[in-house]
Amino acid sequence: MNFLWNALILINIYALLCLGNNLTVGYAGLLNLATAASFAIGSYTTALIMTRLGMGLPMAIGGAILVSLVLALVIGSATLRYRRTSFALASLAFQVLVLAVIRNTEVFGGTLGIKGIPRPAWIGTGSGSLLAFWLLTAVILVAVILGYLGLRRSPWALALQASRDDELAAVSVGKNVPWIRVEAFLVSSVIIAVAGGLFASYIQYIDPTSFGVDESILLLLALVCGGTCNTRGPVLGAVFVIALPEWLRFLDVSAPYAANIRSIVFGILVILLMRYRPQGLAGRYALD
Amino acid sequence: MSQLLLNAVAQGSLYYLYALALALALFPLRIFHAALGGIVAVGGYTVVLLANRAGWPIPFAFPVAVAAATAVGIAIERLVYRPLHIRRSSTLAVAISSFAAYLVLVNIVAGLFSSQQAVVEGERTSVAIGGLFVTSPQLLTIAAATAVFLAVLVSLQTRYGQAVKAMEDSPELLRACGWNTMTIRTICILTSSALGGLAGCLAAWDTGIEPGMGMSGLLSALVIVVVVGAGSYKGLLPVAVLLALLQQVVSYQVSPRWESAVSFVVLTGFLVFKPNGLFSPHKRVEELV
Repeated sequence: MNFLWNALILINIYALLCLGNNLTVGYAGLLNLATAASFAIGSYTTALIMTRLGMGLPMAIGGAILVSLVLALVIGSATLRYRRTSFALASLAFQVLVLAVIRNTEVFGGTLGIKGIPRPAWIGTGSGSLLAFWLLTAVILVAVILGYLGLRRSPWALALQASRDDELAAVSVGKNVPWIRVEAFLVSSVIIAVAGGLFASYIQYIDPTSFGVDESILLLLALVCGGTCNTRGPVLGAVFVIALPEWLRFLDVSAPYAANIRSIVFGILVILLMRYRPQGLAGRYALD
Repeated sequence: MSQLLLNAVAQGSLYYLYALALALALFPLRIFHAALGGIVAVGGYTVVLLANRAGWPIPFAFPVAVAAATAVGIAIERLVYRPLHIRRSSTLAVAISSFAAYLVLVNIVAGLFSSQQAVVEGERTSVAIGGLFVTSPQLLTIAAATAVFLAVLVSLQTRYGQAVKAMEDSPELLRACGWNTMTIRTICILTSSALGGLAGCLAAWDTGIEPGMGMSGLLSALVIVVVVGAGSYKGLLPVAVLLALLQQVVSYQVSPRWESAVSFVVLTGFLVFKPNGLFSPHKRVEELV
């Protein structure tokens, strides 16, 4: 049973990641390669606040949101002034820099990472604790999904999609396109940071290997695979990215090979999808 | 100090090969060629396989590995890029497919060889020139980069070189002039993959290779291409050497751990303050993608 709860909790966390990324990749059409970096910022800030300052999870996640907001504001406002593809390069630079800082700084534990991150006290340690943690992630996931549904036809979301489809037209009707993109990046970073906080508290031990460039690429592909610009697509992508290696384990594939096979399957799937079904499995917007 | 310079020249030569391989896909074809990282790994691991397990001597193993990398590159062009090109897909879709192809290649390599570092076995001779030490892989890297640089200078003057330059501005006009743009695509990808494979071989022989190494090479290449600016092939070599020098100095003065970070500080600086790059006053690299 624990095995199942583990997968379900991770699916919720990854669904948050994909939903966050959906805002930049799907709605804004920005190639965001810093997903794992934002994830790391959320995880490490939460871990540090909980282990060093001894505060609870809500405070820690609040701190993570603040830190990620500030960093995203700096990166976003510096690079989104120009055409949106400069953002792809900038996000990649951001990803590598964040990882280098984490790996080489004493505070972040270097390559050893941070151990002993506590779970919230009220979740307990008994047999029901995994259920409680799943409920916590599920509540946050539902809140984010409701937020998305509320945003769907809002002027802001429509302007964001207009900036993606026809930047010139959006500018001509008075939309501040660079700033809308910065806002999208900010909201997306916050959602991803929350997922990072939950991840750190759930896994209890984080190290830099979970936050590399390859993780960013995998998250991007998971989102594209599920589909963008609605809530079904990203959630489906998250289910895939977690369920596939678990399912492979039933076929007696050892864990390192399962990770390799997952990436290969995802890669081939995305190549085929881009060619034959660019909106992904359940997406609304075709990245065509 | 001069030893530092020499190491920087060797490292910069390797970066130049990566950067040129990337530029040949990015400038004329507008492909954000992330799969190149996988092609580099294929080249490097083929050399490791041939030299360590089959016992081939280096002069025989290198051409075969380059050929293997080139074949993989052509396969990616045919199976991944060209269908999207024919459908007129956006560059975003092409870039995502390229990342997908990278993930497939790297994980195949990692699955076959494990993700441990692999080095080509065998002796490396060290030559002393006026008190400076240079190893045979370094010497070969510098020689290869010099040869490639000269070849680029010459081929830019030929009809094909001009056609590749023209692809950047207007593939339609090139077609109207009677060129088959598909042939030019194949030429660019072929050259790019061969260079990537060669870089992988040299890296595997010099310092060893791991599956993710292609990506870090690609990232350095990206920095160089942005610093140089769109459409300039000649500026790549000096900038590559300068970047390597900067990394060596940081590694020597501060700590080797910050070696990779420094190039991204440079990248961020250029994206914010000089997005056109050094050698291209009219176009920004990002406008291509």
